[in-house]
Amino acid sequence: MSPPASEWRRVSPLAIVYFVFDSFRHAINLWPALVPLFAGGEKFRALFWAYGLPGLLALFVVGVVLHFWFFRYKVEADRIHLQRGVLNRKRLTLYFERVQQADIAQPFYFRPFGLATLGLESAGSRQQEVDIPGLVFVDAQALKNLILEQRRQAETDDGETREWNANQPDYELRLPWTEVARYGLMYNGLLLLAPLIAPFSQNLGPSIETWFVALEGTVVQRFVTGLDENTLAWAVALASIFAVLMGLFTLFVLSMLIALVRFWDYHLTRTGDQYQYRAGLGTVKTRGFRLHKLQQVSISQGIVARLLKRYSLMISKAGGGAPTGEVQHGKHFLIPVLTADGLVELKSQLAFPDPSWRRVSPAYIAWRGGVSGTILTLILVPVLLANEVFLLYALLPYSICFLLAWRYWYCFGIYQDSEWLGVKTGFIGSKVVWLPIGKAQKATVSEPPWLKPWRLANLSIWGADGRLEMHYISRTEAESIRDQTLFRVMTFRGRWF
Amino acid sequence: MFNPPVSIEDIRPLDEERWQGVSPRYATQLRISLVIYWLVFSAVAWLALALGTTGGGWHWLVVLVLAVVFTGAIAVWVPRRVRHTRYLLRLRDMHMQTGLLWRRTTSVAINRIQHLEITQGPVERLLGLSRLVLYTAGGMKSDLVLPGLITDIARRLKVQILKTAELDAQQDEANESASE
Repeated sequence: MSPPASEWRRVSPLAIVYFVFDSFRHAINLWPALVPLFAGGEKFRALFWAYGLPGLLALFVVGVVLHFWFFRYKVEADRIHLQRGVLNRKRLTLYFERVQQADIAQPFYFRPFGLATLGLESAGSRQQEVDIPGLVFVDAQALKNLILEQRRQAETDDGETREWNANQPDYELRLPWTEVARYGLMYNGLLLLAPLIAPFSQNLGPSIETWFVALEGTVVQRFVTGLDENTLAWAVALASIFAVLMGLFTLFVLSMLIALVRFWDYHLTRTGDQYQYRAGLGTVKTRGFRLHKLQQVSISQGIVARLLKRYSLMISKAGGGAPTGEVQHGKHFLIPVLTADGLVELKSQLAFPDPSWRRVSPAYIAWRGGVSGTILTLILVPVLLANEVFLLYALLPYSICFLLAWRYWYCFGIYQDSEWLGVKTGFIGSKVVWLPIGKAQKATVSEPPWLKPWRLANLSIWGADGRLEMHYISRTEAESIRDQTLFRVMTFRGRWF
Repeated sequence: MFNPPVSIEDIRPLDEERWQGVSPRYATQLRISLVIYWLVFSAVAWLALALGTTGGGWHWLVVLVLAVVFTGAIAVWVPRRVRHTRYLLRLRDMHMQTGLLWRRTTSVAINRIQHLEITQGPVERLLGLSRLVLYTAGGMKSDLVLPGLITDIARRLKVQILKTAELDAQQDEANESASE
């Protein structure tokens, strides 16, 4: 298939409508700029309505037209170039094989004219999302097919085929539904909804009271009658707690159901250096990666997971921070639930070391505990003074903060050998992040003024999917780890991405 | 093929290397930028002053405090910043160091560079300066931004780095085909 264009092209002038919506979306983020409007007084407001608003509108219109004018694209056999921006001009090249997702959208204002917006998501050095609005629908479709075809080709070349191949694997792991349901308990994303529901909970007490009143005249009334007001208040409180617990229970049940839908019949295999898993109830998804694509490994155990004695292991196979949604799932290879034995077995499959964790300097406790303790004390002192409470209580935050800092320090560990860098963090649960040393991208040794007297430094090592932070280590150690990492990277030969 | 053995002991510690400073013109660039920032930050106070919407003298206080802070930065911070911003390009890696009070050394191996660019803002263009920006696959933004370079030096550095990266890529390909 030939690409639809091979020279710089502008999109249809109707794309201006798209730029209007897009610019408006961005302009909304500037709402704090309206604060002076409220604080500035009557005169300022009058001036704003007379000159400011028309001026801003004119600027908006000119901006939109200029955005359209400067937006150009060029398609080549294996890539697309985009030029955009008015003052801050950007030129972007997107290789088709790196495109993670290509979607065509036909908003209502394009539909009558047979136009469409092609949206591309890529995972390269940075997460990139671009929209090409105002393409003729047929052209957009041809371009999408061309991109997807090339990507499929690249994946097949890389052995990342989505086709399931489980003939005589060297290693395999199956998760029964009971294990998968545990994942729902361990990582309950729905709990994030709880704060959203919280405002409604203030109606809970009155509704329960109304409900009690509604019981009047029923059989239950016999039990309720004769109870004094105090007992009734207790009953309402208990019923409220019960309702909250039921709400939480429902959230956990839902979370387990979601986990079962996502990871039903989870089956992981390794054949040579290719890992694959297949899972899902409605849509069965297959993901795979070759070992050379491994960028980072995280082994985590939250509080619930610790109670259940389970772990999760996540392998990042491509770069670009932490985007959300489908793209993230596409880049990460997840083993949702592992027992301690299962983890040991998988770690040996991945040739992980048996680490002897090194602790960082105890200055960590002094600084973190000291700073947070001082801040809390400074907040507490005026409160205590106002209430004429014994001032020595102000020192209480110090003991708590030092205790917390000690626990964080106790759980914090670093590890380095010729193949791996590792950092362990935690408080009650734990998280261990591993980076293959040869795949490090950059290193920063930072010496803040408060660490200098102790000859300490912070070391950050960036991988293609996040960074490892080694705080409060001696400057010599930080430089030594950095130099050895760079040396390993320089001498690393072979495919890494 | 010339391929001498490499050992970490052969690589000199960074402190013993000859680092390069940035152009003294970088100080002018920083000063101009600070003045622009000062004007922007003071704008609200100036606006309130011009419109006379407030009775108190708070806007004068804000302008004064900002003037003291920015003058201090121009007089004290700028010369120190320029003096302690330096870089080191070796055959296989590049390093940049900033700050004395808060020292930060950023290092990138040449074979991890995805792409690099030279950028120039209006003030830099006026002073004949450029920034060399290196991108790797780590992080969400550029990985190493080396400011205050004379444009010609920035170009030469870019060419040198590209040449090394290209050689690296060729060697990788040769290794791969040899192993297959």
